[in-house]
Amino acid sequence: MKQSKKQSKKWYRLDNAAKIYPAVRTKKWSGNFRVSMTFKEPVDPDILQQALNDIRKRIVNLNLELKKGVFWYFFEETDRPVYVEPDTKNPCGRIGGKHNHDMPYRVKYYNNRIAVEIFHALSDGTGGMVFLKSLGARYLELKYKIKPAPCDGVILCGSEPDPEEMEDSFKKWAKFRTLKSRKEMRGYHFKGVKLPDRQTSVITGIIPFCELHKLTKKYEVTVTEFIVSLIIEAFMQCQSESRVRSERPVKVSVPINLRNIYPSKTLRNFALYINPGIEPRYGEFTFKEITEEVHHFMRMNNKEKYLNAIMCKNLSDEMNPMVRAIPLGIKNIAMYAAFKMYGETLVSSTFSNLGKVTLPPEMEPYVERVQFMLGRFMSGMPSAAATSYKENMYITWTSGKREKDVERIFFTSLVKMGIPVKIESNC
Amino acid sequence: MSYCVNCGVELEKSQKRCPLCSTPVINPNESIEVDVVPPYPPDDATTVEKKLRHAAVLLVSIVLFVPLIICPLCNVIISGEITWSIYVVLSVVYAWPIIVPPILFQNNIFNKCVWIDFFSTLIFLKVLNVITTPEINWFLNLSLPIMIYIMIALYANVFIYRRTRHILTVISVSLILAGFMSIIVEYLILSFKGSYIYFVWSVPTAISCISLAAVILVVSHITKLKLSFKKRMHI
Repeated sequence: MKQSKKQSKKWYRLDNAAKIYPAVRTKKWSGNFRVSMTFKEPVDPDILQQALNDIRKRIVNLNLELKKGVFWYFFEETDRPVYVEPDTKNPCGRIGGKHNHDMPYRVKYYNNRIAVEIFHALSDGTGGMVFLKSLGARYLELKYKIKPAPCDGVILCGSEPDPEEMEDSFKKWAKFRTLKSRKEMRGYHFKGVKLPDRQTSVITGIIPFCELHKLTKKYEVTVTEFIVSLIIEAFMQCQSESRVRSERPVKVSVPINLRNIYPSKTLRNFALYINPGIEPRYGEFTFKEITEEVHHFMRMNNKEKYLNAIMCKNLSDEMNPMVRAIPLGIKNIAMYAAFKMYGETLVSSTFSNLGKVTLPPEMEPYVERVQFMLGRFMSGMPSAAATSYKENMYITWTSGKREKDVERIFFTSLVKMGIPVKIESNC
Repeated sequence: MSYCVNCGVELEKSQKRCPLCSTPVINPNESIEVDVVPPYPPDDATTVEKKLRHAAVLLVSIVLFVPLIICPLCNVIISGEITWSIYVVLSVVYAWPIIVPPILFQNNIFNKCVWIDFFSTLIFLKVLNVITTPEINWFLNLSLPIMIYIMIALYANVFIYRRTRHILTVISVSLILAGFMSIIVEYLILSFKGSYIYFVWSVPTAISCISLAAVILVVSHITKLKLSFKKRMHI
């Protein structure tokens, strides 16, 4: 009986972007991110638990556990309970146990805030935001008896699961016309004293979005391009102050949400990275010049054809019959080596902007803030994530370094440009 | 609301220091509110790490405890008295404060461990002196001054590194201090033996060290010389 029950469990292959994360996970680190929603009143953990149980019945992704196969990891459906837990000072700690049953996410609460921390193998920021909004909607529905509309990325409990939510959109949309090489020069890495493995420094800057938007108009760039330029400038300043022997390019990895290009409803990973940057060896760049470089790079590379070529290159590696036939243990070693070569070393930082977060009008009066944060990177490099909700933008820096030079230069540059910044931190 | 006087950013009410530059919050009109809920809970995630550290300490202690019991026992069974095992016991007792503090401490490890190592080494040497040759006080005349000199040299190097962050300067200072150390050690040995103070090996050592240090210092600090050196020596 038990055997037949086991056999009937649904399983899913990991998508192309997800495959690297379980392979490079260490005993102390895993690639995670976190989305959080702050209400106007304290969170009731019992209602939150009920909301999680209800939403799990609808969203298939939340009922998956990571398992090891002979050649690849895979997700398998599970009815293992997931309990909400109190938040910790150091968010986005390692997700997953050493055993063969890993729930790839956790739900936390603290004061007025609920937070969902997700292992990147399960989903990307956009998918994570759908989980959070749906969980928040169900929580408010249970607590205040409101009926949120199923719009703005909110999935209601009673609705039917859409098979497209679980599709591997990379495979669906890759055209395999050409492959784009991923050869790039190593980027500058901020040197500093590494914090102990379990510590993450989190600094959130709260910025009035309208004022920032006005400023970006002046430079004729988008908000993302403007912030990426500021990050590059901060890293370049750090590099010039650190008296390095040979200067390296400062590059920032920017995830591109492919759902804006392809009509995909997937709740799994569907994003690619492009790395705008500056080569300091050409000379000193003014901020205006940096914004122009970033702007043109983004316009040039953020195109369906180029992104598809990158996607095809990533997929071609995975689909290579030789690679597929290698047992998982050996593959993990090779993937770890590849991650060390092409992963964090190529870029100085990452900036992920989830953009303007909108909620159904029924939820808005109860929600004060929606935030997005990247987990600590393996190398500890400072990286930023942003969302804007209502009139504010929340830029959260996470870092595994003791020194806060990059964050300080970044925020003080904004202050010097006349943008007021309010700082919150776990330090 | 308070602003950081250094960065100009507004700080959240529970913040006692600016998270960006560590400047303390100074607002005479508004004292820091103790009741304000901070944006993140107090540290509890590190309890796992603490537990792991404690487990590691326990493991090390058990490993060291085994020879502490077995060696004297064997010694007594074979020889009928405690002879060689006293050195094993002494070494094991000395090893514990050398190994354990780096595992246990999380912050300011260098300072704490260096001082613990310093005092435990002194105690170890003193006990060794009392056990082996109680009639000759080599600890006071030899070990103590050398240990004190090593500590001074170590802190001098750390101080210079923190001030300059220049590795060549640190190397040259270390060479100068090593040169002086050779003279001090020879002087201490000669005076301990009560023989005529006549430096034999220490002076050439010191001269070599100091000359090398001078060359490094000069080459690294005089730009013109540095450039000409680079010009002639480039590969």
